[in-house]
Amino acid sequence: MRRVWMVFGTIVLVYMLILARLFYWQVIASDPLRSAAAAQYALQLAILATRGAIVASDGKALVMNQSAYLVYATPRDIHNVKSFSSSISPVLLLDEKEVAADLAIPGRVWVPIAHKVDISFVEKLKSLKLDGLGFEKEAKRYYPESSMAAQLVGFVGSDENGNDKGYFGLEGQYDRELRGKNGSLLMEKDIGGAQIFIGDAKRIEPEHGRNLHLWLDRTVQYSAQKRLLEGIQKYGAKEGSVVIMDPKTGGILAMASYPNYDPLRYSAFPKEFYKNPIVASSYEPGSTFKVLVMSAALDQKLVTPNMEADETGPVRVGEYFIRTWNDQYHGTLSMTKVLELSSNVGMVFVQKKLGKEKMLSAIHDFGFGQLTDIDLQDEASPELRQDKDWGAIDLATASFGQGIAVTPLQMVRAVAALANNGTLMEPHIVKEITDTKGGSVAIKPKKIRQIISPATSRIISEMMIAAVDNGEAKWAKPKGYRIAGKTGTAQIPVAGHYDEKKTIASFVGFAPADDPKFVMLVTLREPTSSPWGSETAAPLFFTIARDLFSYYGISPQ
Amino acid sequence: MIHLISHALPLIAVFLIVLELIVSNELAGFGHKTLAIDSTIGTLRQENSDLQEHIASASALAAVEEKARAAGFGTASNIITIGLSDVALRQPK
Repeated sequence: MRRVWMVFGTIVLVYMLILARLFYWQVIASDPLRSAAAAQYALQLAILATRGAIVASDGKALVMNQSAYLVYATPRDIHNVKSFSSSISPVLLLDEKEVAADLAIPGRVWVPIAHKVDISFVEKLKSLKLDGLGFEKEAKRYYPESSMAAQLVGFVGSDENGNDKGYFGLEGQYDRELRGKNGSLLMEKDIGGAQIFIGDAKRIEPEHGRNLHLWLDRTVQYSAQKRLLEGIQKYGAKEGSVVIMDPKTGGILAMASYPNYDPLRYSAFPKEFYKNPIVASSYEPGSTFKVLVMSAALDQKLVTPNMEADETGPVRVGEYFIRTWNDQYHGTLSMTKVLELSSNVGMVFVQKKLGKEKMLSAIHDFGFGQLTDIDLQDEASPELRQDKDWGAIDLATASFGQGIAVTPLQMVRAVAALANNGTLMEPHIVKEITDTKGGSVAIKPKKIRQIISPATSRIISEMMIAAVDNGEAKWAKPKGYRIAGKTGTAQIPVAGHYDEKKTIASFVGFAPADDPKFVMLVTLREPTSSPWGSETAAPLFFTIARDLFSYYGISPQ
Repeated sequence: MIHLISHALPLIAVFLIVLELIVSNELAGFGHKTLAIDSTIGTLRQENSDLQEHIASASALAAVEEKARAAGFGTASNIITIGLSDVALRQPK
């Protein structure tokens, strides 16, 4: 009987041990086992979303994607690190010692060698047939027009996790829309890596990045960029910019500035080049500002085109004397002549007619001191002094565009209002956003406010036409065209005073004046051939205007 | 009749089990075919992308200008606009 109980006890003990072991494997160790099994039969792949393209108004891509590869190494498969490094470094233009040092770090199973490598280099590396060298597809940005509109477009760099991220310009502003969202594929695979159809599978489709369709006209941009570079070289300027806008819609047709950079090799250029000076840098507009002050006074019926102002000599404002730009005086001048001769004394007359409140109201109405809300990442606006801080001399100098800072975009938008029956529009680069499924979102032109009446806009347009036809730049103007415009030559403030020799030469205008197709602002910083806008920025404006007349098929009026 | 069906049922069951095994096995191996199709799709997409890149590069304005210059085209310096008054069919008053 005792033996029976001993056998029974032993059997029970064995069963208990088996149960305990089963409990261990099925409960305690189940999670790690399940993970290990899943690692064998489950395959998870990221389905990468492609970044959206940036397309000009003619449907041609300014920025698109190009095939590229991540080149990596698996050190445990490399037989000779030195030989491996010396083989791949010349192809990838890397330092051989640095590559070897990277590969020699102990414990690393996977080492990235180079990102976004062109397919031509990948083919060369593949032909080396090296063990331990691998390739993974990676998207790379491609710029068919090279550095054209670089500061408007921006560039794609990496974020802190090594993922693509847009910086500056459109790439920065619309990064989320362009980036899209990666998808994933989770499936059961066989030993060969192929999907098992009757197994579990879960697929999340990627949301590819959306495409941006711009107002920007490729031909207009090309002309502006080419002529600007020629102008900077011809007039010996340090920097320059051209911005061209459709006054009726606020759509930006072209935006060019120099110096610029190559967005594909952005790291090789100084960081200060990344900023778009047309939206981010300020300057004193000089005499181009006169048309805005004059239009405000006309709209308030405080002056008329034929009203006369005294210009017998310098005008006193407090302890200061305001002189004309050439210290020549013409007796009495009509308001039209004030613009033709660009008389600072005449503009002080206009400003006094307006008074402080109406002058400041006009400056605010035209959008100065505020962001324009253009869809670019780096826009900034210089601050205006508080209304209470404007003294008599500040108002007087502001009437001819000195002592007030604006961005080129603010300036061209304000003048565009004169060309658009007095209506201020919100400037925009992007016209439409489309996705890969055929959906689209149109960004409609946005009217901000009515600044002057349509009647006043016609009057100021005629005065600006007279300023072009009879002013200092009349020699450069294309014959037969009615172009409304104004030259500007502003001294550059340096350490609390104005530099006597350095200027910012500019010209702003629109054409054809009776039904404007474009409004354009040209600025040249520190031209050395001549400091005057009439001899540098104005002829450059007219050269670009000739290109545009030809391109748009605009015949002389 | 019932006698016939009752004898046939085991045969039918065995047949269906064997059929299921064959079909499942085929489906399990289908992954290789889809892999091949996916690979072809990937290759064609890549070719499309490469072609788009070539087209964009060839139609870049700088490239077009260079080709035009090489072909003997120049910039028009004197553009004559023919106004309405010069149209031959304009009727005299």
